[in-house]
Order: sequence, then structure tokens, then C-alpha cells
Amino acid sequence: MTDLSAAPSEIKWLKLGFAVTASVTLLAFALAGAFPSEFSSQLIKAIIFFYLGMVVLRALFFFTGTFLQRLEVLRLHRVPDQDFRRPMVSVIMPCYNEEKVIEHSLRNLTELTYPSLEIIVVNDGSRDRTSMLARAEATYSPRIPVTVIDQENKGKASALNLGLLHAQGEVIMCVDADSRLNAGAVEMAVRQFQDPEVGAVAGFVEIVNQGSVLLLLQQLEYLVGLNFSRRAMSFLGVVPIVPGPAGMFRRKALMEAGGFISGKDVFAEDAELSMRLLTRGWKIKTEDQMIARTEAPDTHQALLRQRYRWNRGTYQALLLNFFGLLGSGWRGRWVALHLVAESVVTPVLNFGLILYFLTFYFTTGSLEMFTMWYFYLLGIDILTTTLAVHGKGMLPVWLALTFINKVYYFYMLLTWRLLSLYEEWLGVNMTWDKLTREGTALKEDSAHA
Amino acid sequence: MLNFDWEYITALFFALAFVFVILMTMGFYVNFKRDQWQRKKGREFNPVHGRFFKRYIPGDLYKKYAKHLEV
Repeated sequence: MTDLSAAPSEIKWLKLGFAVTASVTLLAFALAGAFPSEFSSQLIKAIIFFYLGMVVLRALFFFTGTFLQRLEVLRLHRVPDQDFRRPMVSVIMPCYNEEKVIEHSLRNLTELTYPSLEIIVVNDGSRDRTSMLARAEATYSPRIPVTVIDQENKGKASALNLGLLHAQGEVIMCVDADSRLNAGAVEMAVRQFQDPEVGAVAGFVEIVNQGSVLLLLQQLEYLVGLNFSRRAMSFLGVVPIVPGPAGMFRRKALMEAGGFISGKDVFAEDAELSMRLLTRGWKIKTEDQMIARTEAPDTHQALLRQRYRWNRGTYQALLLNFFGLLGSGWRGRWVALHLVAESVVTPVLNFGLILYFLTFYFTTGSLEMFTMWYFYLLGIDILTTTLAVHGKGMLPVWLALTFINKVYYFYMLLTWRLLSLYEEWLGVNMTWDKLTREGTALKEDSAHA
Repeated sequence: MLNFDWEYITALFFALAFVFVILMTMGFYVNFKRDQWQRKKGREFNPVHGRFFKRYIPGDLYKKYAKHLEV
């Protein structure tokens, strides 16, 4: 197995390159606003048009890709069941202090309808009753064998790797202990592996808890930002991240890539593995019928804490696999450019433009360019939301949320992303900051299901 | 008669909203770093400590950390 990951010195230089470019860009924007000239104004106009053009192209790609993916899925779902192979699937569930949710989660997994299944629970050194409760619940599952393995606390990736060693299945499914799957999730997702080039299948994530605007904004974000774009990427087989709550892998691909990366260098092991699979030329698809329902953070502090981990984790994974992706054919290059555009260029450019507009306003009192830029982006967002929520109903509510998103939520997360990126560039230490979940919404959700 | 430039007022509203959101996020960031620093020092995370709008703390958190609140 060849290691395609970047060396530490390469990562250091990449980080430095990104940091210097971003800082110089931000400074240039602020100075251009503070000392306006004909040249800088023309340059900024050109940048705004370039940015808006890219946003339109991106939206067009998402619309077309999603449409083509829907056609592909419809074709796949029309094929009768008997025409598909049904390989054995091993479901691995790592847990750490999950006593509040473990019973419900295991019961949910044992209700999966797929005929050839095994469940492996890896208890990653929990300090509560997780292991005991899992073992007790396992005795109630006569149809699907459940194995509970204990290990010292070594982290999620290490727990997943241990589960992988015990797994018998040809296909490996990784789930989180605090999410719920729909009963038919496995059948449909396994179909995607008919294509021998498919290395992994990403599921969709839905938010269970409701009751605040912050949660609704997250729902909108998942619906439009994550699920919508993921569908489009799936058509090309370049889904950049297989989410932790619902992901399926071909065992061969997983072994070839060397399993999950453990250690303290990467805090988004799902994103890192997905990128590593792409560097090896595997396709990553999505499956509409594989849906994980999970609880989202309901306070600002908890949300930003989660996003901090996601932002830095994705960025660490990207740095580690950047050169590997660039050298692995068009799919890898696409993903590398997409991720750089989404996680570095967009926040820097957006923030830079805001700095420019504000400093320009203080020196000249004009907000003309800002208005054009803002309403143009809002228009594209409204169009995207309308298409993404098609068939879900409550369109006026979603549109109102789009507006709130554009004024508040989007820029909060953007600022936060930039702060996380700077922390990553500066190499600030980080710890695995697990979201505390009470599991109430999930229990209620299971009761209604 | 006053002549309102609605386009300008709308744009100004959004610009001020930006400033507010950015400052608010910075506030969250300070809170986040303080919490990290406290954990490093071995102190337990207390979401109630130092919060200005105490009445908006979700019920379960309020109960859990009520002993830290000033009466």
C-alpha cells in the first residue's frame, strides 16, 4: 500500500501559503475601500462579477447535477430486487458515553430489514453503562447477530478500525450511536455497489429536533447546502464527505485505503477517509433512501463548537490529501478544487468584500455596489431554496428562512469558518469536543416511527 | 417634506446587520476561547457562567447549572 498523504513539511508550506494569501487578500480589500481609486474600484467590480459568475455557475451545476442524479436513482430503483446481489453488510457503531441513547440506537439497527446483516458495537472506553446496556440489548436480537467489543478510550477512528477487524461483511456500514436509520436504508444503498468502481456510498442526514429558528436554519442548511450539493456531486461520483451518521464502504476499498486514520492530527475522520478513497480513484455516490436522523445542536455555543471541529477537521483532511487528490485524475482534481473553493476561497473573498464595502462606505458614503452584490446573491439563494424544498411544502417559511439565513446565519458561520481556518494555520491545539446529547428528541422520534 | 432613499436605507440596514453578526460571532469566539482556557485549567465547563441573558438559558441547562447562578 503506497501512502499518498502529504508529508508534514509539505503541509506546513501549504498552510503558510494559504495563510499568507488569505491575509494579503483581506488586507488588500480593506485598503482598497479605505483609499478608493479608479483602478481599485474597477478591480473590485471585476472581482464581484467573477464571484457572482462563479456562484451562478455553481448553482447551475447543482441544478443540472441533481436532476441527472435523480434520473440515475430512478433508473436504479426500477430494477427488480432479484437482479441485485445482496452481499453481507457489517454495521459498525462506535460509542463513547452513550448510555442515554444506546438502547434505542441498537433497537433501531436490529429493525433494519436487510437479510444479511451483522452489528458490531465498539465501546470506546465509556465511563458510563454503555457497554452493559449494549450487551443487554443485544440479547433481544434473535435475527441479527450483535457483537459488543470493548477497548480503552482511543478515539472514534480507532474504534471504527477495531470494528473493521472483526467485521465479516463485504460491505461495511458506519453509523453514529446518536442517529437513527430508516428500516430500508441498507437495501437501496447496497445497490450502488453494483458499479465496481463505487468505493463508498454517502447517506443523507436529517435533523430530528425542532422548536427554534436556529434549528430551522440548520435544517435549511442541510437541505440546500449539504444534501442538494451532495446529490449533484454524486452524479460525477465525487461526493467529498461520507457523513459519520450514515456511510457505507466497500470493504476492499476501505482496506486498500488503510482504514480510518487514528491519532490527533485529523478531527474529521469521515472526511479524511472519503478523500483518501478519492485519491485512489474510487467513486463516491449518495443514496436518497439511506437517511440518518440525528439531533442537531440547539444553542449557538454548541453549534459553533461543532462547526469549529468540522471546519478544522475538513481542512486538516484536505491538507493531508491535497497533492494526492491533484495527482489522481479528474475526479480528485475536481474535489480538491471544490473543497478549496468552498472552504478557503469563499470565506476569504466574502469576508474581504464585506471589509471593502464597509471601509468604502466610511470613506465615500456609497453603498451602491454592496446593494447590487447583496440582492444578486439573495436572488440566487431564493431560487436554490425553491428548487431544493420542492415537494416539501411550507415554501413561504423556507423563503423567510432563506432571508434570515442571508442576513445572519450564513455570515455567522462564514466568520466562524475564517476564525477556525486561522486557528488551523496557526496550529492552535484542539481537543475532541463531543457534543452532549440528551437523546430526548431521538427517543420521541423513535416512538413516533 | 422628507425624501427617504429606501434603497440606501435598506443597504444600510444590511451593512449594519453584517457588522452586528460579525461582532456577535467574535463574542462567541471569545466565549469559546475562554471555555477552552478554563478546561485547560481543569475547570468544568459551565455555560451559565458569564452569560448576560440568563433568562434565555434552555430549561435543562438552567436546572443543571442553576447552583452557579447568582440569586
